[in-house]
Amino acid sequence: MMTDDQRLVAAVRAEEPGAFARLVDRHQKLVWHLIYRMVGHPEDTRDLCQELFLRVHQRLPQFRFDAALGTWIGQIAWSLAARHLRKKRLPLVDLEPREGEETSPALEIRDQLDLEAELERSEGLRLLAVELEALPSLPRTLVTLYHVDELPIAEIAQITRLPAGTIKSQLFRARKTLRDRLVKVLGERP
Amino acid sequence: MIHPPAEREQGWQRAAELEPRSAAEEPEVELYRQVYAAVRAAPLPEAPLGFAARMEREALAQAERRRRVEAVEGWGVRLGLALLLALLLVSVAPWLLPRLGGWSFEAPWLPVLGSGAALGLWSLVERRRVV
Repeated sequence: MMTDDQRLVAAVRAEEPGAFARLVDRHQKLVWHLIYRMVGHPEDTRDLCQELFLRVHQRLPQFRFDAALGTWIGQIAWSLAARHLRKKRLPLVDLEPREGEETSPALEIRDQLDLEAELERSEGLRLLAVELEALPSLPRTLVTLYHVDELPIAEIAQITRLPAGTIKSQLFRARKTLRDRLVKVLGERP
Repeated sequence: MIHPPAEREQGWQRAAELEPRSAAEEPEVELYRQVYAAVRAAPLPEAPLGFAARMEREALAQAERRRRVEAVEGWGVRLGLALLLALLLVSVAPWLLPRLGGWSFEAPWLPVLGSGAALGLWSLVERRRVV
């Protein structure tokens, strides 16, 4: 019994009209998210996504279903984006805390903080979106894959070839960084 | 939903999994909900309309170009090898043929003809193999 992915791959290999377009359509969202979060530039993202799908088409005859099709495409996307960052000498991850960044767990919000009143939702979202963009490539990408695309940690580990523990700690640190910056923003507001 | 403290402290639950365990935790959990909401609402570029169809056209065109290049390269390699073989035969034949059967070498076109025949035979075999 063939799975949906196997049927699709067979159709692409047989060059059935529309088959590869279906494959692209099915996986393009994850790929655009992953590459954009890695490289952080819309033009580069578009070029890399095009290069990725041409490469997927070229390599599809060698695909043996050792992983899910989406995971395999994600792995190629990850490699391409990582190579792009290396070429541009951009770091994948910045492990040092930024200057002035509060990392102590002792940072607490005020007891009487009323979030509904303090923070207009749309402005809070906008501010945090900016903070998310400011994260280094790796945590920014992992946060998006986990919280937006809702991939399980095991699948993210397969795509990135990083240990699950590393992914969890990166998620933890990214989430905490965003939380601390949100608190800072709230604290600075009149 | 209650999570073990260790898992909660790791901080990698999704928003839907976050529930305050007490009233005191509510502000903290609300902060994280805001964080998750912001992450999900952050703008992400989408593939432009018609991207999939365009990629299919480009991928098929590229595959066709690749096949042509491979075919030309294949024939180039065969032709090069055939020429080398012919050169070898032309060089060796005047010395070799008389020793093989006492046949004096007076027809220099013979090795060229022989290598041409070998190339033809090889091409036929190759063609059958590919088809």
